[in-house]
Amino acid sequence: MRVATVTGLPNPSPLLLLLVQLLLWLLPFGPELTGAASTCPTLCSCSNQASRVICTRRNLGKVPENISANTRYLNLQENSIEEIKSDTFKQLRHLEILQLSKNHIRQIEVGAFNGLPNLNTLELFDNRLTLVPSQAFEYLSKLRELWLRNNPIETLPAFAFNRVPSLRRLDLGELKKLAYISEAAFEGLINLRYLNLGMCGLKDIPNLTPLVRLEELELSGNRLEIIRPGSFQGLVSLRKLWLMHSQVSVIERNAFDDLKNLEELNLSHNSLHSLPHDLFTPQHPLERVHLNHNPWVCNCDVLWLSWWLKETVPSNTTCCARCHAPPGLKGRYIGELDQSHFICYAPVIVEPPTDLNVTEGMAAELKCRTGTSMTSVNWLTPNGTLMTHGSYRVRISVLHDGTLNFTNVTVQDTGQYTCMVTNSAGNTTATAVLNVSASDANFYSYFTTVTVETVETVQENSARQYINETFVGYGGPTSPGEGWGTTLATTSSSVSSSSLSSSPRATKSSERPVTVPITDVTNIPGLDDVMKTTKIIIGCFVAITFMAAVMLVVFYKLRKQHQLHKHHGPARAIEIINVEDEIGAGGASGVGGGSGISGGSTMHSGGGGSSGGGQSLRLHHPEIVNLPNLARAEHLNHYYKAHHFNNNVMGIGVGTGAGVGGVVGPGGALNNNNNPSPLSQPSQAAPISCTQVAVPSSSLQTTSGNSANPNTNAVSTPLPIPLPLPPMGLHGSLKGLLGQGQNPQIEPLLFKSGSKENVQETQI
Amino acid sequence: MFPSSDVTSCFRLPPLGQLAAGTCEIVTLDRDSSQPRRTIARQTARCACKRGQIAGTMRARPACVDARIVRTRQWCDMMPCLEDEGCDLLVNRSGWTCTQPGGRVKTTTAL
Repeated sequence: MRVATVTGLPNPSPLLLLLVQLLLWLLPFGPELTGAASTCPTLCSCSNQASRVICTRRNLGKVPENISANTRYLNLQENSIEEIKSDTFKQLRHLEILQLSKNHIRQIEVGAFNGLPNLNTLELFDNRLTLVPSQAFEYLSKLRELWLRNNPIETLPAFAFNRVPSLRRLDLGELKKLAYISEAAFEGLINLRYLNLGMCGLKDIPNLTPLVRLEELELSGNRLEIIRPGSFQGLVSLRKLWLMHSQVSVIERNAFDDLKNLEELNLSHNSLHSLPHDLFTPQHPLERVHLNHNPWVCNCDVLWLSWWLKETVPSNTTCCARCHAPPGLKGRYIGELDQSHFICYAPVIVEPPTDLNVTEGMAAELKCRTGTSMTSVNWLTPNGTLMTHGSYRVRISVLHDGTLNFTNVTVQDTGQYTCMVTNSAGNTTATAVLNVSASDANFYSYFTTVTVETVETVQENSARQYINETFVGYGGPTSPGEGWGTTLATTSSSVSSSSLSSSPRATKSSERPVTVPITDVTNIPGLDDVMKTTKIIIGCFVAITFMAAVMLVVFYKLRKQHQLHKHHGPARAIEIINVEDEIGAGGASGVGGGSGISGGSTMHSGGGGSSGGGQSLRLHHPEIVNLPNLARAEHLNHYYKAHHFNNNVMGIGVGTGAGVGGVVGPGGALNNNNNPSPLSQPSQAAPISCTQVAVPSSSLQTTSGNSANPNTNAVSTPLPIPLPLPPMGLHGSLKGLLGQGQNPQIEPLLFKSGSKENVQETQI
Repeated sequence: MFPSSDVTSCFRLPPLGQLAAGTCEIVTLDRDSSQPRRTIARQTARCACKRGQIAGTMRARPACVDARIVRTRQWCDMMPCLEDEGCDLLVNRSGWTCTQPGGRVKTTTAL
C-alpha cells in the first residue's frame, strides 16, 4: 500500500517524496485517515490498516469490491447478499475470519472461497442455503470453524465436509428442514472437536463414527425418543453430550457404552421414566449428569441410579432428578432414595433360552426376555467373553430384549451360553446350549492315482521288469530276453493271465490242468516269444524227465512204505508265488523278470513231519489252480522243477517231504508268509493264476496252515493222496530249507520281496 | 531308468472353479505312452464331496466315495473298475487292479 501510494504520485520531487514518506511512517497511528480513504470499500469501516473490514447492516446486495488485500477479518453480517460468486474473495489471501451470516445467501458458487488459504472461520449461519456448499470448501486448508446453523438445508450428503478435514467446530444447529443425513456425511472430519446438531428435528442419531476426536456433541432439541446402543459408536473422545429437550423416553441398555470418556451428560427435559440398570457403569469419568425435568418413576428400577448418584456425585444428589411417580414419592430427589423405600425382587427371565440345534451358516436366537427392560443383560459365551447389548461383533449381538442373536453361526459357536439378568436386587441366570452342526457344505478333496495299463499281456512281463528296474532301482540292466529265457515261472505267471484268461480268478473251483499255461505260451506270437516258448518247452521236457525220475523214486518209496492211500478228496491248491528274486544272487534284474518262484517251498511244518501240503507257488496273483489228483500234482511238480532248473533261482521250494514222512508243502510256507509276499507285484496286475498243487502227503496231513492263509484264493487243501515224495530239494538252498523244514526261514525271503514291492508302489 | 522325459502328453486342465456338490474334475493328467503297449497315467481328481465322502474312483471315473473306503484302503469297495472288470486289491492295499475278461489289466495305485 505504501508503495502504491508513493508510486501513485505523479513525478514526485525528491523533497516531496521525502515528506510523503515521513507522513506514511506516521500513518499507522492514525489509520482511519488515509486507509479508509484509499482502499476501504464505501459503506464499510476499516481498521488496523484495513485488516479489519466491517460492513454490517449496510444492506449490501453483494460483496463489495476493492476490499484491501490486507484484510484479515471481514464482517458482512446482516446484509442482503444472496449469492457468492466464485473468486469473490480471491485477493484476500490474509483473510482469516469471514462472516457472511444473516444474509440471504441462497447460493455459493464453486470456487467462491478461492484464494483464502488462511481462512479459519467461515460463518454462514442464518442464511438461505438449501444445501451444503461442499465444493466451495476446496482449498480452505486451514478452516477450523464452519457455521451453517439455521439454514434451510435439507440434506447432508455423503462427504459433505470431506474437503475440510481441518475443521474443529461445526455448527449444524437449527437445520429445521434437514430430512436426510447420509451415513457418510461426516466422513473425513477427523479433527472435529465440537458438533452441533441441535434443533434439527432429528429422529435418529446419525452416524458419527468418523468423529474420533469429537469432544462435545450437541443433540438437544431433536426428537430422538429412543437412544440405542451404538448411536455413539466411535466417539471415544466425547466428553460432553447434551441431549436436552429431545423427547427421549427410552434409553436402551448399554446405550452409552461407547462413551468411555464421557464427563458430562445432560438428559434434562426429556420424557425419561427410568434408566436401565448400571447404565453409567462403563463411563468412569462421568461426573455431571443432568436428569432434571424428567418424569422419573421411583421404584426398584431407579434404585441403582440413586446409589450411583450418591456414590459419584454425593454433594449434588439433590440437584436434579425428582420422582414423578409413584405419588408417595413424588417430588423426592432420586439421590435421596434407598432400598428402604421399595421391596425389590431379583429379576425374572420371562422367556429363558432353550437349547438349540442349528446348522452351520444359519441364523440363531437365544432368548432371554425379562419382565422389564430396566435390567441389565449380559451373555456369557462359551469362550468366556461377556456380551452386552450393543457390543459389536460381526455375527453376534444382543438385542434390546436380551436376545442373543446370531446372524450366521459357525461350528465354533457351539457351546453353553449363559444369560445373566441383573437389577438392583440381584441377578438371575439362564443357560442354554447351542449346538451347531456342520453343514452339508461341500469340501474339496483330491485323489491321485497312477494307472498302469498294459495292452498285451505278454508284455506284462517285460513291463514288470521295466518297473522293477525303474522303480525299485535294481542295479544292472536286464534284457527282457534274459528274463524270459530264464524265467519260466514268470512267464507262466504273467502269461497265465492270458492262458488262464478265461477265468483268471476262478481258481478255486477250476480243475484246470497246470499244463495249460505252458501250452498256451506257445501261442504267443513274435520271434522272441517263439524263442521263449521253445525254451519253455525244452524246460518242460527236462522237467518232465526229471519228474519221471522223481516219480520213480517216489513209487519206489511208496512201495517200500506201503502207504498208499487214495483219496479223492478236495483238490489241493498249490500256489505259485512269484517272488522277485532277491533270492537270486546277482541276477537281480533277471530275477525281476523271472520272478523267482520263490515259492516257497517250505516245509509245511505240520508236526509230524508230514505236512501235507503241496507246493504252492504263488505267482503275482493269488490265483490258484487246484489240482484234483496226483497226476496233476506231479505234473505241476515237474513243471515246477524244470522251471527251477532253468532258472538259477533260488528259493524255489518243491516240497518233498517224503523223507520225513510227509510231503513238504511249500505252499504251507507261502501261506504262512501270506500277505507281504504273495502279491509281489501288484502293480503288474497280471492276473497270474498260480497253480497250487496239492501234493498228497503220505501222512495224510492236511495243510492246516493253508487254511489260515488270509489270501482267500490260496486255499490249499491237502490232497489226501498219499504220495510220499522223496525229500528232494531241487535247489541247494532249498534243500537246506527243506532239511530244516522250517517256515520261518523262508519267510524272510518272501517278506523281503514283499517289502520291496511296497517300495515300488510308493515310488510310483 | 524311468523315462520322465518321454512323457508324450501332458494335460493341464483349466483353473479350478466351483464344483457342484458331488462332482469331480480332473485336475492333472499325465500320460506316458512312451512304452510300447503300455500306458502309465498319473491323474489327480478334485471332488466336491459331502461330508463323509472323499474323492475316489468309481467305475473308472473320479467320484465321491465313502471316506471309510479310502481310510481303510479297501479300494475295491468303491467299485473302481468297470462293470465287466474284476477288481483285486493289491496286497498291501496300495491300490487295485482291474482285470478285463480279455486279460488286460489295469493296475492303479492310489497315492
